[in-house]
Amino acid sequence: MSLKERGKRWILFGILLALLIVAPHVLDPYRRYILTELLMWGLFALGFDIIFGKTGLLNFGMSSFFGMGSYGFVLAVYHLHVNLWGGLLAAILVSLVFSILVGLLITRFASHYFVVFTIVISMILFLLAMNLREFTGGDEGIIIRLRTLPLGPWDVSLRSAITKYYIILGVVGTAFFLVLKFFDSPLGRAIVAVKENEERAKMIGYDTARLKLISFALSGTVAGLAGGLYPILNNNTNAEIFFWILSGKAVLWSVVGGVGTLWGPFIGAGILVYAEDLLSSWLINIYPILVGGLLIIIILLAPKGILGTIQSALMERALQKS
Amino acid sequence: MDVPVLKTENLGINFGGLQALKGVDFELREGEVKALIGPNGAGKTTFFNVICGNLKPSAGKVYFKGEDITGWAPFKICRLGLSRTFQKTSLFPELSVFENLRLAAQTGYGKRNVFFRHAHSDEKVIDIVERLIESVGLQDKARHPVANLSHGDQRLLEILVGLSTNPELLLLDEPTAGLSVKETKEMTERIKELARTSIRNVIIVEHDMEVVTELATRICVLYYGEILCEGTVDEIKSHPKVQEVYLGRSV
Repeated sequence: MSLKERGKRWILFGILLALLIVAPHVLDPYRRYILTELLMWGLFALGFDIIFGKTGLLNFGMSSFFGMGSYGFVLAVYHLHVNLWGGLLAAILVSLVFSILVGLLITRFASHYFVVFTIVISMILFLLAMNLREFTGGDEGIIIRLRTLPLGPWDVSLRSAITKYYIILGVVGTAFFLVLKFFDSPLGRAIVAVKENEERAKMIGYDTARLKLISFALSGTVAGLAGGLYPILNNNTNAEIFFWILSGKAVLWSVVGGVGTLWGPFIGAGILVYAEDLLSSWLINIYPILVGGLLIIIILLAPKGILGTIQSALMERALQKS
Repeated sequence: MDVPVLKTENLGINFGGLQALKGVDFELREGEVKALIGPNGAGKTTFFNVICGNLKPSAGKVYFKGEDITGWAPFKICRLGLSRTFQKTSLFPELSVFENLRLAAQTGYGKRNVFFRHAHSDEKVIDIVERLIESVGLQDKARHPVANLSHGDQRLLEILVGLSTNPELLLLDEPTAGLSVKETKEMTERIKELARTSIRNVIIVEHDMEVVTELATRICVLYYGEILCEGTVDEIKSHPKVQEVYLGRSV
């Protein structure tokens, strides 16, 4: 990518950020909540895109990492009485350690075993969380109340939904920025080489087992950080978030938005979270069928997803011009 | 002391009951371009696979620059300065020509573990990749995904990727596979040029005797996993055993 294109991408990033900063003052409270949720789900799906879109490993158990991060946050706040920052740090640490341990175990497996193991792990965690009620609160979950947030010399009140929105925007924006930078770096680019052709990557000097582990840990930590945002938004977390349907959503959002584009998961989550909210009130019974139909259309006609298809077309044009 | 670049001792490997390599004692001296020939199934590619760490030998040792590398992981062997190409083109198809070479050059010349700087900010790596692309005249295609390239260009890129890791020894596995007569001539010229400018030590597996004669200083003949004979091009051409293997036994 040339310097000019790189510049363009950061301009786009800046414009989007500006829009998102203004947005909560324009939207009504309900839409504001949807937008806040969407940022969180986008970050979660970004975690999936890192391991699948960039590394080529299909992790169908992303809910494990979201759940670990979420419980990391809630349990740290509940038992250790840490503030919001401490909670987020706990979410990051718990999901990082968890994903390194799981990654050490399963990134060496061939692809189909890998997929099965990710599902199995998330199902085990779901059952454990549902049954260890004293620890997790089961499906009722654990309720926490964060009243203030220390920010430098100030204590900001967390009662306002707009404040929560800005906290979540700040966390998601920072994490997304760092992930974009990472995949521009020598190490990040090498991870893409593993996806493209693992045998050759080994032969040009890459320790592909290590690269897969790094990607797995990054993916799990990003999803775990998103999980840490869930209790900030909803004042609780519960065992249901470990359920496989959430993992399926990460796959769905990324595929619709564009696998491997990093921006795509946010677009996919944006469209589908909004559509679900819009349609399910009066089409609740046929909504899943509509989503299924959309998925079939995307896979048949635009397997690269919305953003992937646009990017390919733009690139094709640029190459023809030169 | 004159340590051979590559040396194998009594190298052997079995696939089930089949002995693909048997007691192979091979040596490549500094500055040599050696061809490895033999009929199909002689074990030429297997020999490469064992040297590069893709396959673990069942017997024997491999020494590279005097170091015992038997059983090492491929990436470690590569980092030590041994690179190879594939008979069946093996590149990163969705990535550009430039990125294919950059990824390889990044392990050979750059810092592959950096994660806080842009990959293109490593000027040494970029410079090497740009010079390589220019040297073969692929500038126009540098930004194209490799999948869009012609077979001939892909074969050429296969070699360039192998070279970008900054090797001291390059193993070429049938670089002219699938090329037309004209393309084969061009490719031979290119390899000759590269062997003059960029890489001193080469082992090349090849079927085309014209290419072999043009490039190699010495030839080693492999037959059913064993070294049949070794010598200069003329010695091999007139060797009775070689004629027997290639032309069949006279009745």
